[in-house]
Amino acid sequence: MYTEEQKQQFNKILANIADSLDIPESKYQEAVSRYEAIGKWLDANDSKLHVYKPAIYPQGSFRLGTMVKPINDGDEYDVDLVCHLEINKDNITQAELKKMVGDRLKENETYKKMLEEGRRCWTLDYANEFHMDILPAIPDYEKLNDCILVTDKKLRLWQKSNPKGYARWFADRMRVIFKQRKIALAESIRANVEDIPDYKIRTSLQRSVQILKRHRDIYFDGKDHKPISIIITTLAGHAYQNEADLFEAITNIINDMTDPKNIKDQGGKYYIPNPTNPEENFADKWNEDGNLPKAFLTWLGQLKTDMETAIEQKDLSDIKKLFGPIFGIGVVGTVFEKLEPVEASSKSHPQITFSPKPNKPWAI
Amino acid sequence: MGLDNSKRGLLMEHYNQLHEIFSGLELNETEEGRFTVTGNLGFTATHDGKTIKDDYDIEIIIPVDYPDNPPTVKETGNRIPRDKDNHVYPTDGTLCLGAPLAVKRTFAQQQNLLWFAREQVVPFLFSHSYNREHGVMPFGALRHGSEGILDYYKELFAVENDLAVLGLLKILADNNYKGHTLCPCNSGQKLRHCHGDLLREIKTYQNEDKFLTEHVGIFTLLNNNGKKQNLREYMPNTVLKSVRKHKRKLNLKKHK
Repeated sequence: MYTEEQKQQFNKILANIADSLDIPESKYQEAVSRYEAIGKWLDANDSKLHVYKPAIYPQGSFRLGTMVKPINDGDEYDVDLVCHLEINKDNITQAELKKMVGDRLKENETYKKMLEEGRRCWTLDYANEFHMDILPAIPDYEKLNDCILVTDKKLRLWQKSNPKGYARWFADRMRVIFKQRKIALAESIRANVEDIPDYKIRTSLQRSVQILKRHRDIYFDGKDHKPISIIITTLAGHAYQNEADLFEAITNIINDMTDPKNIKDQGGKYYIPNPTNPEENFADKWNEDGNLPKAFLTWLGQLKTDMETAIEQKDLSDIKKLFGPIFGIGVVGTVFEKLEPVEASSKSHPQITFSPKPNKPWAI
Repeated sequence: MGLDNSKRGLLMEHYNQLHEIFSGLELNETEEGRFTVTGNLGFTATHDGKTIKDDYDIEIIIPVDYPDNPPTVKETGNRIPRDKDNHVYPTDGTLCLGAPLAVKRTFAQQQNLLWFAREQVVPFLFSHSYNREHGVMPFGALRHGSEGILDYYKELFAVENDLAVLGLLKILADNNYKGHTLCPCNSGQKLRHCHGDLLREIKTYQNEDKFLTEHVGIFTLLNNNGKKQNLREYMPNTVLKSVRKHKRKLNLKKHK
């Protein structure tokens, strides 16, 4: 059992961990200006793409506000972008579309040096900063409503997608709390609610997803069968009931993610539909390799145990010991050094925790 | 040659993180555009139930290829004598934080200053203070020179046998990794199922010349230790080649 006080302290720790996993605001702004520059280049008057009204917009965790710092600090943040061109699918093939976007990027000397081709997208590699994945797409006129068709080298048919629709679904899942948090933030800095940009808000759903993803990244480091982010995000979105309290949110999410109404059974097969497109099953691969759902459940069980053990700890230092290996010593160390009670001398002689087996000194 | 602009921005960000915890440290730029972080580094840390609270004046030197390579550190308050027994390079006064590969490997986990200070500098200084007070190095120390490098690799590879270290280092010194060959540690397994992953990881931290130097150091050590053993099969290819060349020259001379 734990006291209310313990819970509040634990909430603070979790919130701080989530915040230090997030992309720093300066980096966020930088990513935005980088992809806006890419958009301008694609849409310049002398660009062959100009007539197709090219538009660049973010998708995935960057759009959802669920980004997680890479495990190794030197590694780049992944930013997923859609490059949307107004072309009818009857007038172009997947290969032509992909080439068109690639050719225009290559006309820029800077981009040319940073460009790599992937199976579905073009990647611009900003060393030490970002990997920007640019996915060429055209509208899906059969469906409208922001539905798009995207390229894939391995698959003959156009792939359907709807990143904007998915982001709307996700935002809707946390609508109540989002609004509350925005008003609270506006009041605390005496600003108008309308002037607060969405990216400044992090709800307990977003933070829960960040914590889940980080736990997964470290748990599966060097292992196979790592669950994909879209499954975690979708199941968490379904399970979330607008809990304001972060610990409650995470606990309920962990417990309800695997509920049969979220991971459905469709004729003996796993079925986790894309909330914006029931034809797309995020669990397709689970039906090909039984190790995937097994690994997912084992991991989730471990996360549950870790959370239950941690909340029972009364001492900060015990939670710290427990969380170090789970969420990364770097992140946890910084969080706790900020949280630990400040004594007169602790500013000049902060409490430092390093790995239990540091390097042994040597001499030439 | 200084750091370019994007690296400068990164360094600023890293310095700010560092300064948030170690408030006595300041970032300086020299006229040539080189960076150092100097000032007082204080810490409180506990090992084995014994708490040490201490502070040292230090200078962290940022390399031009930061953050690809770790910084180096000097103790500037004259508290640590500049000698091998205190793990200081006598020539330039920098601290021997660990075996060269160990320092790079730890830094590669998180290439930033706060991590470097917390995981490498503080443990070193903590050990020094702890040893002064309690007469023992809390986390141990490596022997000097090649003996210490050998200790380090035995621990890293988790092997007992000196020759296993030589065999594994030979692969790195020759830059000749082949996953299907038998692992030199004598496990009877293929390299790829044994020490393969580790070898492929560590070869990203330093080049083959550096591994060659370390190999030759250990080779010489084992060759001179009096035990009768044939080490020829552990000789790196580059060394073998130069030996053959040398012999050929001698033969040519004879024929003349």
